Amino acid sequence: MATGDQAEVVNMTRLEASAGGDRTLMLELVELYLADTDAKFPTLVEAAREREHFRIGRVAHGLKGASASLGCEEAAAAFRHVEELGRQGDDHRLDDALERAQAAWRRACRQLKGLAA
Amino acid sequence: MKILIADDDAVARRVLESAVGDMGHEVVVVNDGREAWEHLRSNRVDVLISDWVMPHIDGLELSRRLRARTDEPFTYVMLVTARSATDDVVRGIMAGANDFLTKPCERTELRARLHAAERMVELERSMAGRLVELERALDEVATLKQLLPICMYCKSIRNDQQAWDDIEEYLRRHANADCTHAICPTCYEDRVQPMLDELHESKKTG
Repeated sequence: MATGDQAEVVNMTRLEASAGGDRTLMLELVELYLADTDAKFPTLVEAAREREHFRIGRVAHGLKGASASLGCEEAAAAFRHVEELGRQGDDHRLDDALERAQAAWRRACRQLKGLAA
Repeated sequence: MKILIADDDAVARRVLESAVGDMGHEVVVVNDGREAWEHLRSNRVDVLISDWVMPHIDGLELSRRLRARTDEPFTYVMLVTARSATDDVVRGIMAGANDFLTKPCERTELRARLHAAERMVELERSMAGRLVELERALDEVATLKQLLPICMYCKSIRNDQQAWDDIEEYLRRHANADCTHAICPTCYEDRVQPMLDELHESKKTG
């Protein structure tokens, strides 16, 4: 299961654990994630367009880590897949994987924004 | 403990900073390996928690650089990684890492691992202290093994400042030894016994 179809959009237990049960910190982490990934995702798209495999791997790795830290499991799995394809230099499946990652990331962001609202 | 966190991922960095801070440690956070190395060069750090993959200088290289320093206090290295393959663990250990944290980090696990780190840091520091003491003791032994210039009359010893020390004082300073005062059998025969005999004689005649 390379793209994490069975994974939760946001694992709330994971998110709360990362914040140590502190709601203020949880909201701070959500804000941080939204800003950080919003800045990084276009870089990933650009790297994929340019077929810069090293940069794809590195940026996807960062997005994967941030997603995993907040319990965005579906997005973390999707970014991991993009990272692997980047490191393998597999261009054939890259665009499709990137599209899936973007969709998973957007779902996670939507759910996280709902928490912050 | 003084803990340095190096991670280029803002979310993971903040999660770690908050967790480690809540455990009562002094925390400094930096954004990448280069900043981490700058901090390590001018500050004492008990534990480095570093992401494996970072721009400029990665976690492995940071570990290598720390271990290459032989004259600095020990720093415990924890690499944060999603890698768990045996090859990666071996590479981490060979680079000088002491432990690994898997992303995403669990607070309870982090607390337990920091306890282990604290014990190791104390042990390493204590061993380093003992080593210094041992080296000092060996120096002192080496001094005592030399030919000592000793006064043939009063038995004072000439020290390395060319001054004459009382032998007891010399031994106290260089061998950390205090002298008790006793009388050897020969001196008893030669000195004490004649004095006692003289005393008895004077009692008899007096």
